[in-house]
Order: sequence, then structure tokens, then C-alpha cells
Amino acid sequence: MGCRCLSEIENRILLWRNTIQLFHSYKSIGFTGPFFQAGFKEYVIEADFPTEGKSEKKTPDIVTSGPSGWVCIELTGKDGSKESQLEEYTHLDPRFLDAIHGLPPQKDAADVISSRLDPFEDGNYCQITVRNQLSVKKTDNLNNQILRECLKKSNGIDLNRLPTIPISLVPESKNLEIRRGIIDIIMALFDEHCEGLTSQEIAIKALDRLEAKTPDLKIKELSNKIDKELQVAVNEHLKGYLQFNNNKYNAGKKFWKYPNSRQKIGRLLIEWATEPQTKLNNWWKKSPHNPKI
Amino acid sequence: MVRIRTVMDFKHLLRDKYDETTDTWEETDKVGANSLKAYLLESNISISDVSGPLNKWQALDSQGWYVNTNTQSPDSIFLNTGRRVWILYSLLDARESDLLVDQWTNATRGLDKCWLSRKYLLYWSDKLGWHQRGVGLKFFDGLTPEEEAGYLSLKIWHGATRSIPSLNEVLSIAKDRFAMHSVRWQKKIEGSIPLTEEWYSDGKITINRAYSADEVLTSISEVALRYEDALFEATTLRDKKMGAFELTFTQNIDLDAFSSTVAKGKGLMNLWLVELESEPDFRRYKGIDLHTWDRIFLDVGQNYAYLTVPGKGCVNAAPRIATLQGEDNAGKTDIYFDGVPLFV
Repeated sequence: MGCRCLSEIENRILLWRNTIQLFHSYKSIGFTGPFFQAGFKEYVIEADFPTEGKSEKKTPDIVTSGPSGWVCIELTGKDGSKESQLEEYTHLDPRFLDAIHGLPPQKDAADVISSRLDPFEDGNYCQITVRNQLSVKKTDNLNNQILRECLKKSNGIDLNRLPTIPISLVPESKNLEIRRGIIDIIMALFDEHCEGLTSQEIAIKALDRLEAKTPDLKIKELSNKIDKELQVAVNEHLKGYLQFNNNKYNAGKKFWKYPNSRQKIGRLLIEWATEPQTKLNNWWKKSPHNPKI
Repeated sequence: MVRIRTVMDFKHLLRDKYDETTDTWEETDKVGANSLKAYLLESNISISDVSGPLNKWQALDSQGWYVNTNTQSPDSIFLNTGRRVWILYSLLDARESDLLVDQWTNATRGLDKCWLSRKYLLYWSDKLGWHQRGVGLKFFDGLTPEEEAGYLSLKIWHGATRSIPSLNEVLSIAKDRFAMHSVRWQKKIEGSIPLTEEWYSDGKITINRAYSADEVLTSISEVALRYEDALFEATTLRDKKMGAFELTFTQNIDLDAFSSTVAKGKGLMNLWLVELESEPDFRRYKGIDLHTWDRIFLDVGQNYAYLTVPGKGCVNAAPRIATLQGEDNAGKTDIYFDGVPLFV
């Protein structure tokens, strides 16, 4: 039995998924994303743009270029305005679009958009929120008229059944988000030909194409968080099925490649990845109803 | 000890085989038991990486051509390796051939069958001289408990005239609702029939009758190359974008039964998945394609699914899942990316 609802723990991945899918079209549910509609079919994530006279690069989360212009999109779930960052993106040199990223070249400045799950003030820039439905605000701040119209027309479209994207974790992922993000990678460890994976290798697989743009230090931090979560699996939920030897996670002796064994592994993984039940004793110790507190 | 050393030797061998077959056809109106079989295989490896029952190959004179030296019947299995699609030719008995190919693809990681959608099976529809002579449809009802499950296996050899009353009506309805498992083709030129083939959804081709080895190799290579082009196209889409392959079905899927089947990794589809999100008419799954042990993400509605292949997993999963799911429980299946048909 799987998890019955998408909980808050997948916010970061939900934000990426529902933003990326605005560049795509799906016949079966009659969905066409506004960027796809506006002709933005090519995009690059975490695209580096050198800045004149400065050593640091600017790296918008998504950069897209199409027949009518180009756009930088910043995804964020954090409190704190992104206004200054968005302002910097308006000064990025469009010549790097094809020189570095293989995107159609442009001459004018980029339009910039912030993408969030919930509304937040990011200054005078177009904002989209993508939690369950697409909500579009401040489209008048876009120079691109075609994109402006496509976004307006798409306001309110349902985003709940859009496909999963290949990215399972982002560097900031933690706790249960990590567990749910790496379930399939852990299942792959039960391949009889698999020699096991280190937490760093697991992190790299889960980051997918974000890995190339993630600094080594961030990957290391994510690996440490993965270790923390997997040690719970090794010592508790999947004891005997999953083991940790020579710095690698691999299948333990308890696993047999039979259907019932696979079903059990799947169930144990879901238990590990689901919101943990608070033990009654622990709850009572902290409960305001407890006369001893 | 093999006697075939060159591709020309192989073609002469085929020519001699067809002469036998043609004689048999004329005498008894049936083809010989050991007609040529060809198998389209999807490969992510080189010939030196193969294992299993067909792991020994001797190169012929032309690059990419090999004769197998494993079997007890010498000069009976040949291989033409392309960049992603290999063609295995077999002169063994059909059952023995099919079993060997199954064992070989199961034993060799990185080797799979080519899974031919309806568009590939009907590839010759608009080609000069080609005529469809029959069709096979299948539906296993694989998600229904065995004691209640239905089953459809329908083969209609309608020949040239389709003279059986009401046959067209039956065929039209069935073709619209169920997965196409095989199609029989006949090539006719100026009254003579140089080629009769039966094409199967799992990439197998039986050549029932042929006058020319070149005709045979051309017809098979043509589809192999189209499939290879589609693999490269799908791989590029997967690498450059983060959209999903979209599968549409004609049969509604019992999602509870689907969840139960994939939780164990059972059934034709050979998927081991855990359910991460669940609504009555929509589920999200993550897990493993047991054919390759690649990771996949599958989001399934009642009559559609989205397949995401993360990392460098093989995109051959898309036509495979579409074909097997179609025959197992989903009916006629099509594959799209951003609304554009793929593997066509």
C-alpha cells in the first residue's frame, strides 16, 4: 500500500516538477504549458552566465530562449525576496545563450520570472505560483507579449497530475524528502549484479542533471544527509535486507529475488519513507494535557 | 566447424534455403519448418560484452557481420550489428530459435528485443507492391485474477480478397480496441510473390517465402534502421529535456490491480514499482524495470501513463512497456513526447 497523499515533504521537487512541465504538452490530459505554447521548447537548467568585470557567475535556475525572446526563471521556496537576484538577471549578456548553452541567440535583455509554490513579494517582476494550479501575477512586467498572453490564458490550469521529472533530490533536500527521493535507487541495489553504492554515488544519481552544476561541497553535504537517513533503514526498517559494508550500501543476505520478497522490500521502503508515527509514550510526555508538565 | 565465412556465403545459404522452401510451398502449399527467422534486438553493448547461450561469434568478412559458433548446428545463426539495433538471423527450428533468443536477451545485460508498435508492424502499408494478408491481436487481461480473467488471441489470415462475410467489420472493431501482436505481409511484383513475411510485436520476423536474399535483408534492415533512428531521437529528448514519454491506451486500467502486480514485479511488464502517491484514478510509482534494472518513474491514469527514464537508463523501456502493457492489459497503445508520436 503506498502513501495516500503528497505531503509537504516534497515541496522542493514539486516546485521543480510543476515549473518544468510548463514547458511541455500532454495529450491525454489536454495540458499545454504556457511556455510550450509561447514557443519556448528549449531550456537549460542552472545555466552559467559570466558577468562583466566580476569573477562570480550568475546562474538562473532555468533559462529558455525561443522565437519571441528569452526568459530567466528563478525557483525558490525560501522566505526572503528574490528581487535583487531577478534584477541582476535582466543584465545578463544574451550572447552567451548560443555561445555556451546552445540556445537560440537573442539581442535584447531577458524577461525574468520568479516561480514559487505560494505567493511572495519578489518586487516588480512577473511571478508564477505552481502548487496545485498555475497562478500568474504581474505579467505586465514582461516585455514578451506572446509569453504574457500565454501565461494569462493559462492562469488557473490544474498542475496536479503532471509527470514526475528525473530530478529526485536538490542539494537542500533533507529528512523524509531524501527518503522518498531515493527509494528507486535503493531498490536498484537489489540487482544481483550491483556491487553497492556509496552515499555520494546515491546523491549523484538522485540529483540527476543538477549534479553537474552542484558544487562538490554541496554534494558532500547531501551525501552526509543521505547517510543519516539510510542508517535508519539499515538498522531498523530494512534490517537484514539492506547493509552497509566498506562504505557502500548493498543488498543483505535476507533478500531473495522472488515476488513476495520484492513486495516486502517495497512495503518496508514505504514505511521508512513515510511520515513517522509519534510513539504514544513520547507524545504524552510532551502533551499539554499531561498534568505532570 | 563453420563453413560460412562471408556475407555472400550467407546469402547463398539463404538462396538455397528458399529454393527448398519454394519447392515445398508448391508441393504442399505449406512452408518448411525451418524458414528463416530474424530478430530485431536493441543493444547498448558491443559484441565482446555478450553472455549467455550465444556468447561466441566469429566475424565474417564484412564489418558488423558474425556467425555464431555456440550451437550444435553450425552455420545456423548469424548476426548483423548496427549502432543500437542488431539483427539476428536464425535457420533453426522456430521453437529452438525463440527460446535461444529469449535466453540470450535475459542473460545479457544491455541487450533487449525491439518492441514494434502498430506503426512499425504496419510499416509496409503504403509501400509499393506490399499487401497486408493477415493480422494477429492479443489481450491477456493480465491484471485480473486468473480465475476471472478474459483472454483474447485472434489471428485473421484474410488473404488477398477478404471474402469471408463480415470479416472487415470484426477486424475493424478488434484492431481499434486491442494490441496488434503480428501482421502478415506479402510483396507482389508483376504477378509474382517474391516475399511473404510475418512481423511480430516483439521484433521477430518470420520469412515464409522469398526468392531473393537481398529482398529479405532489405526489408528487415529498413525497419531496423527506422527503429534505430527512433531510439536516437528518444534518447536525445530524454537527455535534453525533462518531459515524460506519454503512453495512451484504449483499455481502462484497474489501478488497484496494477499496483498489486507491480509491487511484486510480476507479469509480462516485469516492472517492480512502489506506489508513492495514490488517488482513485491516478497513481505515482517509482522503481525498477526488471528487464534492465534501470530506474523508472511511472505515473498512471486510467487510460494513460507517463514514463520518465532518469539518468542514462535505456529509452527502449518506452516501446517495451507500451507493447507489453498493451498486450497484457491496456489495449492499443501509442507513445508521444510533447504531443508528437514516437517510435513510428
